[in-house]
Amino acid sequence: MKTVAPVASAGSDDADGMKAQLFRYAQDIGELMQQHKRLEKQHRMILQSLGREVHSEDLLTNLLAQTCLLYWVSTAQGNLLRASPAARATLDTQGVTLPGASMAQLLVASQRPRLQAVLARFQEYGPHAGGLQWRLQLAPLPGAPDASAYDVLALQASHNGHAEIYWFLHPASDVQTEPLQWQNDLVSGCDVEHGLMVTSPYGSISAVNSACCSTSGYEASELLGNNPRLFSSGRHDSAFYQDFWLELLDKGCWSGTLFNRRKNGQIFLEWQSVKMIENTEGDVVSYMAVTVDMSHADPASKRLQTMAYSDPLTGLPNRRMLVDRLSQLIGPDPATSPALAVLFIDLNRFKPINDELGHEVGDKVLQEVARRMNTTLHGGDLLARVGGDEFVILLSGALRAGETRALADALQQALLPAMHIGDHMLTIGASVGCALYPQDALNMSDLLKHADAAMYAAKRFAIPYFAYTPELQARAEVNLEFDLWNALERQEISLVYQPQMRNHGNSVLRGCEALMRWKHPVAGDVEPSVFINLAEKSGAIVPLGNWALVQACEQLRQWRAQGMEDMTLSLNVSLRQLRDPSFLPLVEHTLLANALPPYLLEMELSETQAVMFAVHDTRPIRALRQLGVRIAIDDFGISFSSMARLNTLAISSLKINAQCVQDLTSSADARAISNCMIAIGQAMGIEVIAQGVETEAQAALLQQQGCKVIQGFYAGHPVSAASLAHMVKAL
Amino acid sequence: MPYILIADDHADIRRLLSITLGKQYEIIEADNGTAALYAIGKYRPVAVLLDVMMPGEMDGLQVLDAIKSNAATRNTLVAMVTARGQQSDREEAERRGADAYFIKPFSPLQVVSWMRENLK
Repeated sequence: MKTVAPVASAGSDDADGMKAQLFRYAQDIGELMQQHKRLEKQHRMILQSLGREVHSEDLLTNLLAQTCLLYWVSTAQGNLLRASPAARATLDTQGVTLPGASMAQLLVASQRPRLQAVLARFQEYGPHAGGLQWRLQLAPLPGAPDASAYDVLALQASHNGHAEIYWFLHPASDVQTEPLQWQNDLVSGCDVEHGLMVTSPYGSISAVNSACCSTSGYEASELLGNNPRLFSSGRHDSAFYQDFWLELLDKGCWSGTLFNRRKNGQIFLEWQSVKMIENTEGDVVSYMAVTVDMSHADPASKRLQTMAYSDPLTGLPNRRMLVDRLSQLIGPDPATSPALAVLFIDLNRFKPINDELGHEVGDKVLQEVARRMNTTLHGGDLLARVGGDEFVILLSGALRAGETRALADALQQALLPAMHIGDHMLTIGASVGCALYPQDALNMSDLLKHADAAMYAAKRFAIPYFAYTPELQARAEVNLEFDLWNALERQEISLVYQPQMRNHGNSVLRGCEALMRWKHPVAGDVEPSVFINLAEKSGAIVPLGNWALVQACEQLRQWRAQGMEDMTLSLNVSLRQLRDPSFLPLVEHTLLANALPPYLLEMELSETQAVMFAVHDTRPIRALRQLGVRIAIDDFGISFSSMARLNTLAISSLKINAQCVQDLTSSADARAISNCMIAIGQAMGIEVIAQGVETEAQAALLQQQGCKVIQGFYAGHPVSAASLAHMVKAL
Repeated sequence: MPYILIADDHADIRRLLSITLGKQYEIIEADNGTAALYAIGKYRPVAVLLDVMMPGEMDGLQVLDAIKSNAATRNTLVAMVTARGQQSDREEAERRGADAYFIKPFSPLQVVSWMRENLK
């Protein structure tokens, strides 16, 4: 242990705090000890359910021995070991000494072969055989006239690894009592903490004890005569019950955990041990079950609940199920295991929703996300929720090239439409990472890890989908911020041009917007919003923006030389550039050097940046206007800025934000807003350009409203300078 | 073993936390904010348990700011361990990037399970 600084002793003021802290430790230790006890108990039960109990803990025999007055215990060979006090008294009168006496000596001679058959049967089936019901005749005492008859229930248990047979006895009175009635009485009178139940061979309940009633929530009268199917939770398929019956009929017993339902509908986990009871003829006379309610065994019940394999919120399979499925599919030999793809999906923008609007809204978003993602899947695909806002899709079998990519695209598409949750309209995105088995990883944990790493890379580079590559590690270590400063020198930055069309049905080009692209040598194409943000933050936007200005103006000169003389050029400009004293001279010089009329150049400022100018200092903008350069407000309508304030900038164009355009056909609000923006533009003599126009319907609506210029995929994707020139010629 | 830094001016609290976590992690201790920052730079702990009120030039929140504003240490998990139990205190710490907030007297079980869950 290292101590970095000399340690001052705590003052007496802290004594109370320390006492409180120590008390908290004591509380936790107390809790741990409780947990330890519960776990120990559960461990015993689990061992027992696996047939590996260390002590004689066969629950059924133990419970019956607590209630039945008369019983003795013998070895598998029929030698008596011990007996209940009442039975001991009976044995004493027979002159039998424990341990060691042979049970055969107790019986009338005619029954001794039957005893041998019974013992042989128990030996054959082992400690977990079913039970046996028998009417046994004890040899008459010397001088007594008759043999005394007993109804016997014989059950085998194991003690320290040795098989033992418990013989529960009940004197068969002269009045012929049904042996089954005695069994039922024995069980229903068994006032123990665990449930006991007897059913007929046909499955109708003939006896229950009080614990069975309190656990299930039913009255004994409601249960008697009913079928145990009453408890069915619906969580197990028919194959489960089929296996249950097969094992019970084959081995004579079944034990394990299952989900049952209480009368109030609550589903709970129960451990059960069921024994088949036969008579000496080999006919089934009853089934006897002991049940242990596992739902109170917290905290272990948390672990047991996860056995349910499903996420309670979304109803999707959970991580445990995913891991189970993966471990089934990934065999020791990749050659014989099916090909797999794991898609790791992490939601974007979920955390702020959860934090700001609360968990209730967050939960509903997750449910909706789960529902939408589910619609993109095919039959055999598994979609699991593995964490807060993390999901995994597992595809197995032969995968077509591009299939994972296509699925990732489909997922993104499914998430795209805004969700209406309560009063909120929310949009959620997702980053998807993919890894393949056996190409990318040979075991489950690497496969999941690599898919996760790919997802993280997708998130980091703000791209929707990323497939794992071994070079991913190298990409993860890329420092984009640092590399951005050298990107120009290394010629990694290029310009593309997106056409702006006049919106009157005939294809006429107004001009284009120059957009920067960055191809990183390791990370590949970096999402523009990512590197522009980085550049803004670090200041690299100034050299980058200036370079773009010079480059685009040279391009415009070439286009004009090719005959495209009226073409305008829009260019994003940042606050940092505008505040740089060398910017205005650069613009002036570039326009001159390329012989460009200034009105062909349009500088686009985001609305937020424009507002800051309007408040503080409008000089740089006015100077540009004085040069003759046009000023456009980009993404207009996002930050609700005051039009009057913007007006002080003497702007020449407004660009309606893409979100508003996208909502046009579906939302009356969006239509009203765009209408309003267009009207303002017209009133002020400002040109209005609609951004992000993707469909004919949007273009038509905008035309109706009087918007004269459109930009977006409908008008044309961003393309290289040469492609744009081709396009113009083709118009 | 990964390093964990315990920064608290109360030696007894440091001792308790060391005992609580010392089996799974290598523990470093600091009794003031400046020493804590020095230790973070030197040992690069995976997590820091940070008392809010510490004597000296920097209190816990300032240390938190320093950790979260530096790209090299931004991903270090920081849990505030403090007697300041007001909701506004907690929100302030969370706003400034704290990953967890334990109020004294804290439950050692909670601290251990938080560590376990977040340092997988």
